[in-house]
Amino acid sequence: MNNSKKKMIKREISRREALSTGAKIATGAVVAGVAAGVVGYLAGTAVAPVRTETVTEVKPITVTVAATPTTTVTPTPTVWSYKEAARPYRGTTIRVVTENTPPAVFLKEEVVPKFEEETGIRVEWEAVSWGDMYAKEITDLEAGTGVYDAIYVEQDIIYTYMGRGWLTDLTLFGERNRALVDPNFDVNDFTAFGDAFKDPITGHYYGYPYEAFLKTYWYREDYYEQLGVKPAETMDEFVELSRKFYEWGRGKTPEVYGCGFQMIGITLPYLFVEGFFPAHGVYTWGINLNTMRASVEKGGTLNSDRAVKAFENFFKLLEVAPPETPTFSWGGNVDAMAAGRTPHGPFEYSEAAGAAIQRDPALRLRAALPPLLPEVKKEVLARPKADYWKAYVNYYDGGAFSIPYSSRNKEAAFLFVQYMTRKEASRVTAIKAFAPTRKSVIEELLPSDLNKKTGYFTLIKEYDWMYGPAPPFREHKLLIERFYDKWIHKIVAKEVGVKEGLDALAKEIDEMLEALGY
Amino acid sequence: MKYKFTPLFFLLPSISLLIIIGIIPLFPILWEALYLHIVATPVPPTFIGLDNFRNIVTDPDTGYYFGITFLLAALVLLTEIPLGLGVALLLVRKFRGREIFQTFFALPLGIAPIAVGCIWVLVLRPEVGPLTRLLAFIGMEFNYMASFWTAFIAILIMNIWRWTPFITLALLPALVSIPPDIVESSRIDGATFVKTLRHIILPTIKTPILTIIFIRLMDTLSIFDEVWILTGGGPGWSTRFISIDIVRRVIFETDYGFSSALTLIVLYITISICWLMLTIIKGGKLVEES
Repeated sequence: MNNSKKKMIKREISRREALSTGAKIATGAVVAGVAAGVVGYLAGTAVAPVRTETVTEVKPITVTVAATPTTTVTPTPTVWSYKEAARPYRGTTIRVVTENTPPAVFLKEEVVPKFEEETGIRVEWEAVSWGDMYAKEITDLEAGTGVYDAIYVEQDIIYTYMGRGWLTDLTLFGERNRALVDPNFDVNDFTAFGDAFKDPITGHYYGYPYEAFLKTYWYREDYYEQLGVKPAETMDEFVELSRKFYEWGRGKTPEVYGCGFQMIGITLPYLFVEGFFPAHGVYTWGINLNTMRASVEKGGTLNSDRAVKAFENFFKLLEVAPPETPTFSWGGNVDAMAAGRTPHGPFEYSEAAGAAIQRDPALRLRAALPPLLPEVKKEVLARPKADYWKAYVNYYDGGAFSIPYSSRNKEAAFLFVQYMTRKEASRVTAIKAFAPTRKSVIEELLPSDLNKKTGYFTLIKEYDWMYGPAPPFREHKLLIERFYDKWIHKIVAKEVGVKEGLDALAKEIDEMLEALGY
Repeated sequence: MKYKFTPLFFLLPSISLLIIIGIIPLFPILWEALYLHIVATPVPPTFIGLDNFRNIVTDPDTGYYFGITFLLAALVLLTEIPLGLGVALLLVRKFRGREIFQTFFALPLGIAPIAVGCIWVLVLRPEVGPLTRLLAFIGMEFNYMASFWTAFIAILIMNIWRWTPFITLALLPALVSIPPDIVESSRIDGATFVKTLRHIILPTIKTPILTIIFIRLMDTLSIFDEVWILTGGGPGWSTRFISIDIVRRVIFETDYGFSSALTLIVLYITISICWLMLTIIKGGKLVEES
């Protein structure tokens, strides 16, 4: 064997050795990684006591409540200003995440700069789509990382967050940090919608609302005048009116159709649980809040004749809807109304209508009570005003600011939350996006031209008690995403019959609720 | 001995990165897959063994999502590769305006997937979209959200529009590298275009084509953004491809257990297909070595 061959062999051996060593190290690293992963996971699980700490923090609530069963925070007697209260926190940066709803955008653009200037607290606000916001919030709250100091909590998801102990008790926090409480911040000035963010047992606030709007009937007044008709009161009248508009709109430019509504993806099941179902007397998603079951035989109404009737009317309206309706998202039909494609929508988010008017002040949109089955109106009028889940005409929708238990800047966040939900801020969201959260602001706006034109603030002042916030389901998102979404889409696509689909939906909901321990 | 650790030194950054972002996260996922863990419920995580995997295998809906994902992948490959090759063969020849055509043709590649979805929502909007108006002009009513097939065709067309330029650009260098005298000789010998394509061009560009199939297959199996914008998985749940299903389950249902199990199954299928494709690309060498 010559020298060069020996050298080559030696080099190969060295290379093998090197690779072998590399492989050993890599294997070692993988094993270490596995160990680290498992230990990390177990440690993560073991971190759960952090929530126990929160529970410990919550414990005195009961004591406090027993001693002072009031939800009104007593302000400090000295002269108070945000500037002075924020002095220890000047230079702090708080992170906020919300859905990019019109009120959130207006607050971010118009109110936040004033807050920053006044307090010296810097705000990093992420206004993103609902899905993104939810993913960010859940990830932060579940891991307890403390990324966010104030978060958007919608009225339908608050029960999930409270059930997991993820939110700070704002009432208690205010009692413990009186120097931070704005003496002009009156929780009793919140509309009935504010109740959606209270713990039903203690009455303590876990969120202060910054946007609240009725899901209701909106129509183009100019089209109604041209056809010489008045808003419908019953579902039958509404279907008839929609057919009239469809006939009237043939050959017009743009071609006018009979009616429109949200339909794409997850918006469709929400159209039913928030709109069509209550208008047909199927309340709280068809689930009986006492038995926590959905099927008729177990006390629910999800597969009842009323639910079937809701689908019948939906299909009648779909026949006269524009062909692009299946692509409509939350505010899709309001956009169609603004473009002149539809004359009305039976169940529209009023914030979308407000934003449309903001974009085009010449647009003549007007609000009314939603069309109902006649018996629904009787049931709503017969119930006590505060007993909204017993019967309601449609949803009272919106969201609040809460402070995650994991926030590291709770004091600065508390000042921010008050600033964004006080009367001055509510006035901004009311005028620009029809989302008032305070009674005093609604009173102020009653004589305004905006109210004369739309009738919305009168509607909210007189009839907001007829609308119901989301029912208190801790499993809200799971139920709607996995079950309602699937079966309602199957029914609408006519893959199954209406009764057959509703029976299957009610059965699956019952099984899931039972599995969850109800 | 002096250079014993040199190769390892250079490999260390990539190995570390692979371990940190590729391997370590796999273990919590493996762990989660064994639990009933729905975050947005007050029920604590419960160990259920392999139940999540059993539920996936027996769930007809999940089977459907896998089915339409593979159907899309097959149709994408069957349409995009011949089209991409055809345009590449056209671009090999010199003609007036070739550069301009090439530039415009490649434009969709530079557009973000989300923007692609938005563009096609506008293009296909019933009655008002330019394409639907064009179709209406020739007497065809097209509402892409009317049924599964219309939505599926819309997704397929969008995908072809976006990715055919990639195939063309990837095949162009391979076609240019074929010695012109071989093609010329075959013509002189009386070979038709089809015969030249079959016996000379395709065998020469076999490896790049297989690589393209490999890349496009992986891409299509994980298709999400543009479909999410265009159809949202609808109408109904009909275009809920497997990646959309995973996102819905993990983000909106917060079902970490089921989603983890589903992710592992998709990962397993993807690795298997990768291995198969690599084996084919290397001409069976991997099989021989093992």
